[in-house]
Amino acid sequence: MAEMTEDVVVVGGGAAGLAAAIRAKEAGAKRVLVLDRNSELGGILPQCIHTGFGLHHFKENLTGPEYVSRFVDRARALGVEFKLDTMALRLKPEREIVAANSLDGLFRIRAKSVVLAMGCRERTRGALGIPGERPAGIFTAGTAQRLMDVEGFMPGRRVVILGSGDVGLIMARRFAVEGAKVEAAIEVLPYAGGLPRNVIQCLEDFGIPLLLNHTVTAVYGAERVSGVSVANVDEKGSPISGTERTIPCDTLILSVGLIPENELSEEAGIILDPTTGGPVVDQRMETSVGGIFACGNAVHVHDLVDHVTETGMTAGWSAARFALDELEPLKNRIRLRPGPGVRYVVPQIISGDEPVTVYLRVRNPVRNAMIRAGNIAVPVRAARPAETVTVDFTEKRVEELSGEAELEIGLEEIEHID
Amino acid sequence: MTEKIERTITCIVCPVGCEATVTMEGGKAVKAEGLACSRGEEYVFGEVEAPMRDFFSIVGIEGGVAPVCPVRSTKPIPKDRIMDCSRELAELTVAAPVRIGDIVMHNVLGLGVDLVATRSIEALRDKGSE
Amino acid sequence: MKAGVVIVGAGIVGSTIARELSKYETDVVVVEKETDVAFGSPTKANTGVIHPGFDDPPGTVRAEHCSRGNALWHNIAREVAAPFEEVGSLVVALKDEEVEVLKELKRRGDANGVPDLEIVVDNGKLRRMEPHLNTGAVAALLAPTAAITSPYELAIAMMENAVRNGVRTCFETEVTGITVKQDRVRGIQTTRGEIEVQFVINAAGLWADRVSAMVGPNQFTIHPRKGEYYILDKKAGDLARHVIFPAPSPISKGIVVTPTVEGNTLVGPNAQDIDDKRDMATTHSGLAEVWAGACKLIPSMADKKNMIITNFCGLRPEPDTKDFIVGSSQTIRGFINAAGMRSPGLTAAPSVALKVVDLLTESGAELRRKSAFDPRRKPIDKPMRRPDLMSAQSLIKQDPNYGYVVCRCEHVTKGEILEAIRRGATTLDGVKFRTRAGMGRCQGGFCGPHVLKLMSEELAIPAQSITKRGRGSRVLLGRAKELLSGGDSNGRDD
Repeated sequence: MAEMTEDVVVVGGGAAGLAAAIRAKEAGAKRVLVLDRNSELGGILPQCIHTGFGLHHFKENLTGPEYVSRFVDRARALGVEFKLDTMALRLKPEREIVAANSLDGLFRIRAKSVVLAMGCRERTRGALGIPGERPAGIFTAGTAQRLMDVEGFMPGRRVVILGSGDVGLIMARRFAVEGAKVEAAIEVLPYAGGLPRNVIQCLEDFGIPLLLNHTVTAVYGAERVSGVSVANVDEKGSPISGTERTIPCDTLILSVGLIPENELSEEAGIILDPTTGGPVVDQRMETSVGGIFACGNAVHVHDLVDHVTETGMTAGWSAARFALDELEPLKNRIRLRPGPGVRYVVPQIISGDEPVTVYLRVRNPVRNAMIRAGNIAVPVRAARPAETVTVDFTEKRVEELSGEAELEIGLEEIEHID
Repeated sequence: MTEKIERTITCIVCPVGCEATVTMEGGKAVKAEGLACSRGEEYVFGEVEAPMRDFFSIVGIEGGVAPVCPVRSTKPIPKDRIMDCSRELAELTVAAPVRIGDIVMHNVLGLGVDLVATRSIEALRDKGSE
Repeated sequence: MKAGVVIVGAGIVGSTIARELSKYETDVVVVEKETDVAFGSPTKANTGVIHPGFDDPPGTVRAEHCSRGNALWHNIAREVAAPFEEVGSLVVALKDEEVEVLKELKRRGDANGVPDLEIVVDNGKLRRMEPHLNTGAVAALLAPTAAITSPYELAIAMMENAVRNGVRTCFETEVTGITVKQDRVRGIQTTRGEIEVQFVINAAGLWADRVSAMVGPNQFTIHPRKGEYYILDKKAGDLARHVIFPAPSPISKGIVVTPTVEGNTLVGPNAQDIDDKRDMATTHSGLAEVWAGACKLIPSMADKKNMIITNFCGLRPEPDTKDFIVGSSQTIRGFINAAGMRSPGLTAAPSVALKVVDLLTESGAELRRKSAFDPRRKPIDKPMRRPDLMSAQSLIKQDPNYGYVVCRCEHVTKGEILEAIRRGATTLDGVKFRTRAGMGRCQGGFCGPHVLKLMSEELAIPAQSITKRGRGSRVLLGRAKELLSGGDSNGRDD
């Protein structure tokens, strides 16, 4: 079987992988190879045809395809190699990958370092356990987006969206703009899952009702979806008997959660964080296996592609330094643990001897809060579970961390922030 | 005496999401209450007087390696023209190749805004060759 | 159209009878109202167990055919290259009173000729056999000859072999009447025309009573008994190594926890009598019942709710006679029933098929054995799932499509999908049943659009016309822009 050696292999050619490949080249790696299972680069971005990308990274308001094309062009210009229509099948901790495509067949790659950038997948109806029939016409939002905005089809004409996260909201707008009738967006929590901007521009703009504290209790249709049953839910999220009503529709779109893809990570024995679903990483984006780095949505689900790009750049730089045998081990390894009010924090391990930015998600929406880690306090305004909170451990803050092996990072709600 | 109308708008300029009550007189915004900072006033005034939105959609492609190409407006358009814009676009088919940034529709609906391609689509070499 | 024998129904029973009859020089036609083999509920949604044969009271038709069918499947499954794993089964007594039930089952098994049955009372031994079994298990009846299979793959494999040996199939063809003259069958009427034939085998599953009524007043009725299931991710691990049953109830073998041939865990079915043969909806209460039943047997299941991939339900064809109806019509020559074959219907199928051959001969059919019957079926190659992955290289060299992975959860390649289409898949479910594309943890989220595209290209049809499982189950409702533009509605091919 064909064997190749590379300095850095990047699994996944989306926003994270491209940023990693570019940075790896810039940091001195000679041979950088990106593997991607699609027939074109960009990951999920080519199908995200809406604006809102690049506000931080480029200070411009771009669509997904426009954002990613800049990275594709730069990667090409730098001499990054690509293998498309290629599936990475196996990953060994010794940084050996087995992959397959039509051209090369099955082949093995020995890499000095690996960057995992596989992104995430969508939670399914089956995983949610929605009872009912199994008609055609049930799609996760991302699949519907691909069918519409890449393949040019109408997945449905009369639509109900389950889940008010950003992906669902964005698809509600897409369906409406293409002439479909979106009957409602259904949300089990008392607040929308996505950004307020999207609630306004995707639902309110089109007169699409948002049913909070509701869930879908059954799907009907012998062949194609004919309707869904929705019901009110209580504080625990359980349907309240007697409140069911049927909404006729021909399509159910599910936007009920994203799960980082980590089949390869698990195979290589990489330690995963059960809350994020992705690898435990340090501030260099290195996983528990030396020389294997991870970035983007494979680590945790981001809401801004600009952050994905940052993690990709960090991982790419680190992977290149590792490949060149120039990555010094971290001086300390301080494990950050989510404390009260915080769901998770990434990276999970910091050295404490240099500035670092950590991302965290809060458990519930808060107006004003203090993020506390040891004797460090950082104010934050209006934090929502849907928006990652960025906490900069600057020079000064980092000094205040000394030698602890574990540090809890928690949230305290306060009245006002001065 | 012009009639005073009050509208509630959520400001989206920053994550706080202040709920502003905007007073309008004769179709013009005159006062906003409930905003925590000054940046929001421009947004909420604009939102009640003449809400604008980026427009993006897909256009049919002929003779290309893909059947559709994503497009966007070069500038925001009035919110209430979104569906008209979409209907205009639906009448169009563009021949491949298309380059990112190509103008697909010039001065759409006479609004002084163009629709441009946000990606490139190559032309099919020959039909039937893979 | 003329035929020597018409089989009504392409489920596991119909396919097995078809394959058996294809050994003879007679013109066999299978008519099936669904779009593909195994699309009917009893075969499609089936626990897939090949039962040893101790459940059935001696003297019943079920008992007559179950253990013989079990023995026959060993060979046949290998010949048609269908999945078959003899994992053995355990019927578990969780209470002292249930031990009596186990003893009764063993008595029945002994009388029915089931080999190697043993009641295990040693807790340590039970623990070693099944580390996750409820520690409160008092005893268990071990039956080594129980096996698992994939019920739809098995039916598809049997039908492929039957077709290879000359059987013709007519899908989306519903029988509407049977012509009888002078007390013999002369022909059948279907929604696609008439077939002149003198021998009809009724393997119509849920609808067997309707077909039987076409030759005279009905001797039996079939009512649906719903059973719901959960499937767990392969990552949930080895929750069960055998097929694990609870002590049976009067109407059902009970909620089972079983490994599947793929390495998933299958849980179910419950048993609920319903009226509507078209009611294929899982229910909140039914699924809750299934989960509770599973957790009773395997308590550690309770932590694995997040490992559920999907749920589904099936309908058992329950005969009011409380036994299989296998026999020639008493009044009309040439009409043979293979009906009411709920559990152990799949197990019994090859034995019943042999009986059908006898019944045909008794009814005057001239059955001469073919010299050129080929019992072997070459399965679709699944290169990425070979234990020795590297051995796939030569196949990929021959056909590069086998190097292109389309379904990343189940590692299904383009080559397999194309082969499935060539072998008769015309729907998404047809591709799914033959390749497993779409059965993994993302449930077709990634591969779905790719499979649609491949089918569209290979079958030279617009993607909008492709269905999930035939007729009105279209996946796409047109092309983008059609809802906005006045003209250009070339996607409107209703």
